[in-house]
Amino acid sequence: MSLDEIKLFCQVLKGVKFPDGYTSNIRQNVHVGERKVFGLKSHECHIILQDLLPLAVRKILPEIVSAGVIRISNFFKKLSAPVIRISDMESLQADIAETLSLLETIFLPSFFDIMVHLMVHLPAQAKIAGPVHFRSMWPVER
Amino acid sequence: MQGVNRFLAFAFSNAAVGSKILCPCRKCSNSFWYEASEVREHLICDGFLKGYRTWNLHGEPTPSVNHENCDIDVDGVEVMDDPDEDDDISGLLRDLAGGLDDRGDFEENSPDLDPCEGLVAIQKLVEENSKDLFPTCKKYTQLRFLIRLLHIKLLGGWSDKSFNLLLELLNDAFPDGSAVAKTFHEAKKLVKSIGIGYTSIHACENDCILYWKENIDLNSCPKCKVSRWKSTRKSLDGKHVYNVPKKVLRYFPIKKCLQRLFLSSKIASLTRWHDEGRKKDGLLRHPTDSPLWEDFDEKHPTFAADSRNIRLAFATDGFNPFRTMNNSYSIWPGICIPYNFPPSMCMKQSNFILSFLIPGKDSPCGNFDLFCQPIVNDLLDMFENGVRTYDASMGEYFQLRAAVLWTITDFPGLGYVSGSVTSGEAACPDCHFFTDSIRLGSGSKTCYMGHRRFLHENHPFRFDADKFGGKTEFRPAPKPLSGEEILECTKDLSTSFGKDPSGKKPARKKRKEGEPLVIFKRRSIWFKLPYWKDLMLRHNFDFMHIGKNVCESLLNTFLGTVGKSKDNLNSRLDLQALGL
Repeated sequence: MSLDEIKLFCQVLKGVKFPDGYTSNIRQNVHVGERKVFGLKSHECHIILQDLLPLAVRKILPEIVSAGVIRISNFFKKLSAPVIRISDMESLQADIAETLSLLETIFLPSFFDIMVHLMVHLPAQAKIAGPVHFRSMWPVER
Repeated sequence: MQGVNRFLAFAFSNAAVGSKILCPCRKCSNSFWYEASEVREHLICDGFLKGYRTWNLHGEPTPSVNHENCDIDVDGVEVMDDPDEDDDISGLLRDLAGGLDDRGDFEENSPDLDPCEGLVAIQKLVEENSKDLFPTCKKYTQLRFLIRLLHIKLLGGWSDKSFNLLLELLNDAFPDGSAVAKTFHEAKKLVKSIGIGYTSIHACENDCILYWKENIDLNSCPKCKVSRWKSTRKSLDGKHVYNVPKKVLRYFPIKKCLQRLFLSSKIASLTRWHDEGRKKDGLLRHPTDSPLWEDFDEKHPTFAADSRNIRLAFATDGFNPFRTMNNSYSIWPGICIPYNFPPSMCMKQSNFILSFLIPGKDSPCGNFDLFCQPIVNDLLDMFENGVRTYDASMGEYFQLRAAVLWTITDFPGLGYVSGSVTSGEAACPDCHFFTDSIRLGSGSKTCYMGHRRFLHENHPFRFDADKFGGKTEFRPAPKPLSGEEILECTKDLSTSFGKDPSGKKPARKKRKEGEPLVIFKRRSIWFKLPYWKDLMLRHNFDFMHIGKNVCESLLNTFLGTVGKSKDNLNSRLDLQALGL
């Protein structure tokens, strides 16, 4: 991304307002001047990934990249649903493999660390053991 | 209309001053005193004050725990001070005693807990509870007063010393015949017998052994020869000499914690929710709906027969108790989460059961299993034999059993708990031998690609050699190892605990050509549980951490943050080296 695009990206993040209690004020962490986003807590990452990233990258990145990113955020959004169907998880599983293969053609190899790889296994686990929020560490971490 | 009449009747019987009450209509909002007919008129015309649910200004006691508040907010109106309603200590004691009654015949297999000991302690508490604080005091019994004091100490974060000073003052100020505890130590000793205590198990400084069972009397570690004690200290009166241990594992006996769930009739009946209360329509909303749960029930019919038997998840994570003050300290709590409850209750912090605390400057790393020994031992006993427990909702005794369904950890923690490798060539525990990894030389990282394997067999990407570095991909997706296979893999691995006293990590050996990949470092202690190998899923990948890391790496790559972006000089060099 060029500098201007980054700036635009930051401005999108800077401009969001959330309903009360949805998340903390993400705008505080976005610094348009320095073109940086830092100090994010895990729940803020969760919100950015699921809700903001698809909006922010749509116009800025090339279509093929933004398509990949939007697919990832959709994947996380579907997976974190409180009620899931087994058939949904199967389609998600096929979907995420395709998305990651697509990303392999775009991103550098160093992007694919173990955490990115583990996304492939998430739907399979959800299929066996139910919704993710019963198995995640939100409450434990606090 | 009916509601208005009912309210008026209630208010006039409880909170009338003369023939007037405070008017709770929207306009007056409890500020003016009126007669009954006028209040009725106001209520019908203007409506009832919104949000005024607890009629605390009209004689209904406030539901707050801190019952001193009741006296303040009611101006001049007597509040019913029903002793059953605030602390209910006598009720608690009754339940506790109920849980302890006639277990003499059952306790023979655990000699460490004398059956009478519990009862004696309870009797002492009851005795204490029956004594008034001082002869003319009707409101507080000694025990209740003490518990309130300790509670305030906790909330206010008082030091032990200031608490001692306060007790001294109170003892001095109260009229004769009162007997508040003299010191904090004494107070703690008394309250401890309610049974919310923990056992401390000493551990070797280098995590070699726990000083329990056959090692309980040792003074130094047989493996690294380091002494068990840090220093000696004299007791307050100077008669005894205590040894201060170097490292203490605090273990909260899981059996008692689970038994305590059944002491309250409400919670006890909710443990049956997963069998009786939930919707069964094939959608997954709760772990009870999952295939794993059904599978578990099928394989262990005797366990499934009683729906009160508790299914747990075991979660652990390192955290720093000193916030950002000291970054290098991590303490590892082990937490059990009972899954029997409805979704709204299940993942609440108040329903978690803290089962042990591993202290230490360093995280236990590979020696995590050592500290799990006590809990696994108890869980094993609880699965096979169960514990005789009093169910307050049914009013009967039964054998309570419990099983752990899976563990919840972040990814490095998963390595500690499961004993599998979480970095390097075969880092993915689900792809095990078939992890597709490339070592990136100049970035000195390992990357994990080959996601085309997870596509279905005829997907166009599989044949597309141009886009994917000139290769086609026909390998099938790897299947996770079953329990039997893991046992087979780990049968030759020795489980010895302990780390190098000098604090150095053992040097990593580079794998030579032809040697098999190492995917397990040791056999996890959880395999001691008989059902562990049959579980469909043992260790969860944590959704939250994966989401967070993916988000961060995406953001940083897009924004080009220096030092964090995945798109840097080194990765470009790697790309060149790979010839892509």
